[in-house]
Amino acid sequence: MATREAGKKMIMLKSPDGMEFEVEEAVAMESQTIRKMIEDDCADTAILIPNINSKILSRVIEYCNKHVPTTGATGAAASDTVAPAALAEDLKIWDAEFIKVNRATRFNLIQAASYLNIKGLLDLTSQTTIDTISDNSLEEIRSFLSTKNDYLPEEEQTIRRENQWAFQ
Amino acid sequence: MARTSSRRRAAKLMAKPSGSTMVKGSPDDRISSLPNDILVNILNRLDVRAATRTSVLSRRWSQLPAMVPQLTISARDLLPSETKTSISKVEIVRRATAAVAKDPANAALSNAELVRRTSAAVAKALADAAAVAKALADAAAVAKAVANTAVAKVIKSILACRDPGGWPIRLSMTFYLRDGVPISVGHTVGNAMATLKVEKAEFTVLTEKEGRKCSIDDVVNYGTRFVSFFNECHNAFAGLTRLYLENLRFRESNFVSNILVTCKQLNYLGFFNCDTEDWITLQVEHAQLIELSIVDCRFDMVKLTWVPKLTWLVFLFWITSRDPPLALGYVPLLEVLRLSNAARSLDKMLKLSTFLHETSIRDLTLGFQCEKIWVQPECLTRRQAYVFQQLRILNLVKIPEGYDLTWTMFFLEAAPSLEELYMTYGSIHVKWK
Repeated sequence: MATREAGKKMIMLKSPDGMEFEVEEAVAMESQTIRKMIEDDCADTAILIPNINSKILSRVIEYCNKHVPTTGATGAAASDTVAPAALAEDLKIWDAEFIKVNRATRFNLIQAASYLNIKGLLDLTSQTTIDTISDNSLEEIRSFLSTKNDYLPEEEQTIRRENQWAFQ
Repeated sequence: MARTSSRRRAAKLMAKPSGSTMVKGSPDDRISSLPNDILVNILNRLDVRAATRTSVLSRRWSQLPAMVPQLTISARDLLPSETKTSISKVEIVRRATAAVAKDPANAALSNAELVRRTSAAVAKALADAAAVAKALADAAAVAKAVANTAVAKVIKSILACRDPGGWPIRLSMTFYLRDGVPISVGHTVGNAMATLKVEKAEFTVLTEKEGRKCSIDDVVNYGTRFVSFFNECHNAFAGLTRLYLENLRFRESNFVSNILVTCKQLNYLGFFNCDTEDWITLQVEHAQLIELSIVDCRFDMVKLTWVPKLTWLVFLFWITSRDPPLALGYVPLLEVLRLSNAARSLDKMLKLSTFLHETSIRDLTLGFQCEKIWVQPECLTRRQAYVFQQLRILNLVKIPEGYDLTWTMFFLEAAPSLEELYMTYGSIHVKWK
């Protein structure tokens, strides 16, 4: 994943399916959860990320790698050479491309982002869900979220009545 | 030893049960595999109506809206969408003109005749538009009343299903000062403050007519309404963290001080187009206030006697000619300051170095309406120049011609940390970095 450069501290991340990812400490610290572990000094050899499979973990690392310089992490200084606005624009395009994944992958990414506490990735991955819920009918939302309506008809009527204002 | 225990803590952190379903979860129902806190996080970023609607999706979703911490309920959002849009006059003229020009029947006409027809079409379109606008305005007033009533109902209904032991709530309410709605909202919020964990509570109190359209009778009337709202709902006001008020005239000259005394928790206070019948000197002493905005208000004098946490102050378009209508007392943390006169100069020029003495000014905006001068560059001693040590951003708005160079020289010398300098002359913008 990350290339090893002289003087940069590397961290090993392990997924439950046995894959190992060596990443720069600064990249790994995009995750507040990992940052906390490093700062608490409990990440000296390798960190096992038990809930995230290697496919998702590699995407997460890809995201962190791309986002590390602009968030002012130590060492990297791409913003010195490129105008911040252009850089932000570039990142936006990259993000839009990054998020073109199927629904299952996106939900996995949401959960990984939440668990690893990476705010930018969480915002990015949950935006589609937010847009869908805002702009669509309930049936469309159910189908997008693969959620089954498990109410009895009269129960659903009660809920609707209680929250009538939201359906007007 | 210490090491082992912190490692154990980390292991615990990793073994959160909510995450363990992720790899296994059935592929056709991924959203159920997400733990509640993620779904609540998503709902928190939706508007409150969309978030509440999700309770009908399934049994699991029915519990989630009641866990959302941020409750932003605004009469503006609850307005039907068609009342929000209106077409500008320019657009009406453009459309009418284009329609005449496009009409093939007009192709062979002389220019004079074309002009006549165009102006007739424009006049008709404008008259139609005025009639429509009047009907729309009436409809908008009704819509505002309906939306306002909805705010009171919605907040009551939402807070009724909250668990007293639940997560802290951040309330942000925007409503119009009419009917019984403000008092109803005030009581609901006051009760919530007593029984639930309310972390933040914000009131934006709007009037039906906008600032420029308000007559004196209107602002007096709105002022009276606000006073009875305030007196009826002291509990809610005592816990507010943010309050915005507009278009109010208070009969009692010490009423504004009452607001400051009662609303002890305020971090933000904003006045727009507010005043008292007799012009007053407003003394501000407040332990929590961080941001204060006074725009288009007619207070004779505002004295910030003791506001230890204040970092941000906007004081725009004062109309007294009394020298300066603002006094900075104990405001040691004040970093951002925007000042502008309104069409009058001061009898005595403001001396910036004395005025800003003992602030931490970092971002300063000085506005000169109608080319009136109320502040001038000074000759600074080294001790006086210390005031501008931390100044990084300077904005000079509508600077009168001929003053730009002296101001630039003054600040380049006085403010060694200056990073950004903006000047506008009328409509020309200059930006130096």
